[in-house]
Amino acid sequence: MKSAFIQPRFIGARFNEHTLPLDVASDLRAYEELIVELAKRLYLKDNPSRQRVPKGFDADFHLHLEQIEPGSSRPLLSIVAAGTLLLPGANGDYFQQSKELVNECIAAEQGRLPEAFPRDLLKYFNRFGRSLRSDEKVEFSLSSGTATLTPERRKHLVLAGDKEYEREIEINGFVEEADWQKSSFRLRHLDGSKSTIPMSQAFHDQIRKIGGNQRHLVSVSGIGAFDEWDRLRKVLTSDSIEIQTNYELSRRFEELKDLKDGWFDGAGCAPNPDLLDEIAEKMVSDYPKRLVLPAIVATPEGNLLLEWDNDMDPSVDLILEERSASFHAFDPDGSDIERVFPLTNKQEWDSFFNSLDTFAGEEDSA
Amino acid sequence: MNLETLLLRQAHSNFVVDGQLTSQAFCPFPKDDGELSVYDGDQITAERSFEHYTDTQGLDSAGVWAVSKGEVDSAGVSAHPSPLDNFPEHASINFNECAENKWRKIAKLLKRKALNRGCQFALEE
Repeated sequence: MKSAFIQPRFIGARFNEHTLPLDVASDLRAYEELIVELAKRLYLKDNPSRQRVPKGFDADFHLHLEQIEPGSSRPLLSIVAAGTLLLPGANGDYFQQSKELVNECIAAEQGRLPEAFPRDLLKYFNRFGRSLRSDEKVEFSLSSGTATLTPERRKHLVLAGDKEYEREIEINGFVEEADWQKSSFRLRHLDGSKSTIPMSQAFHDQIRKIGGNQRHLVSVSGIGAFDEWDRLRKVLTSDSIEIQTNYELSRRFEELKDLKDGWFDGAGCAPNPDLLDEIAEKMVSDYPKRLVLPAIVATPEGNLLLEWDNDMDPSVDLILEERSASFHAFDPDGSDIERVFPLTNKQEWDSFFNSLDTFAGEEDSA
Repeated sequence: MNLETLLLRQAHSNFVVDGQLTSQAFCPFPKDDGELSVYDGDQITAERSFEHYTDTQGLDSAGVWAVSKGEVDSAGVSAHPSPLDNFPEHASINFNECAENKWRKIAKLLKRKALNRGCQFALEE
């Protein structure tokens, strides 16, 4: 047997094509769990002599996504039951009551939640609605009016029952150290604050390679717990970890790539983007981690200057079209040290990087 | 202009990376035929030169650094006044006295002197 249960309306740019992103599936799953848990509480309230609900109380309650109708995106969720749930007088009424109560809870004014709604179940809103973006919402029809769940409303609902609420995070920083026993690492955010990030075994190799090296930026996507002032209190899960090797260098090359002809007060050629990519790839992947990074600027001719800040004043003029590097430094006696390096293959690049050993200076920490 | 005269150079923001001044700020632009434009510090302060450069001329400057005429001479190039219409404080450092492949070295010598003296003026962040 099949019976329509609810048809929420998802509103936002992602739903304009009358489709439902898979992200939302986990929200609907949480909704189903909330309906079941609340129905159990309602049953027990009506039957105070019972310690628990009858065996198989919710065994027949399964929400299925039957179809998605236009009007933004309106998934029709139906109960598909093999047993007696949908028969008159069966426990199905409790699921209907549960649905109404969830809707009332969403629609309630701030601080005026329905008394019948158990406060400890508000935690389900940590997951139900979590995939919504800031400009998205879900509407549920009430007998009079509409209940609207927005990210902000979701936050307030959770915080009505707890001190923290959960939402998706994407944070960037550097791995300071790892705790393999606890399977976690300490991330220093770009603003200097720190978080402990739990990680699955699958991320161990990646973290082992870059741990302690502040040249590699780590982007963590997962779930974080926030307080009512939206301060991150704890990272709960890390679902994906991406590593940007030699982040400072790649950021600098991205900036250089943004230069347009005329960047120097109306004059100045922009570096050729293809040649710049070629140089960037070599520098980002192979620049020795033991060496201090150079300042890199474009020259008005569309080439690059690399310069290190130390007593020998080493510099390299990279001529992109020629794929060559003109090196210059001052010897301590004041004389010039000059060399030209062709940079047309890996061997020549390696030779170039090796020659910087004497001049670029070593990083304080690896 | 004498050996003590400070020559004020505006550093384009693309030549200062994370606060580090590069020698490109002291390297002549090809179209300028080896002449590096500076302000004559005997005629204008660093702050006024910055205002003139950015507000009056509408050009980009991350800050003002200075080398003396004596330092320019000892680097192997020369400085001379080159006043323009409505811009009497304009002066030039002439790099043409050296081969072009020596310009980087000279620019670095000038940058060293300028860094020793410190930034003369920059807007606070």
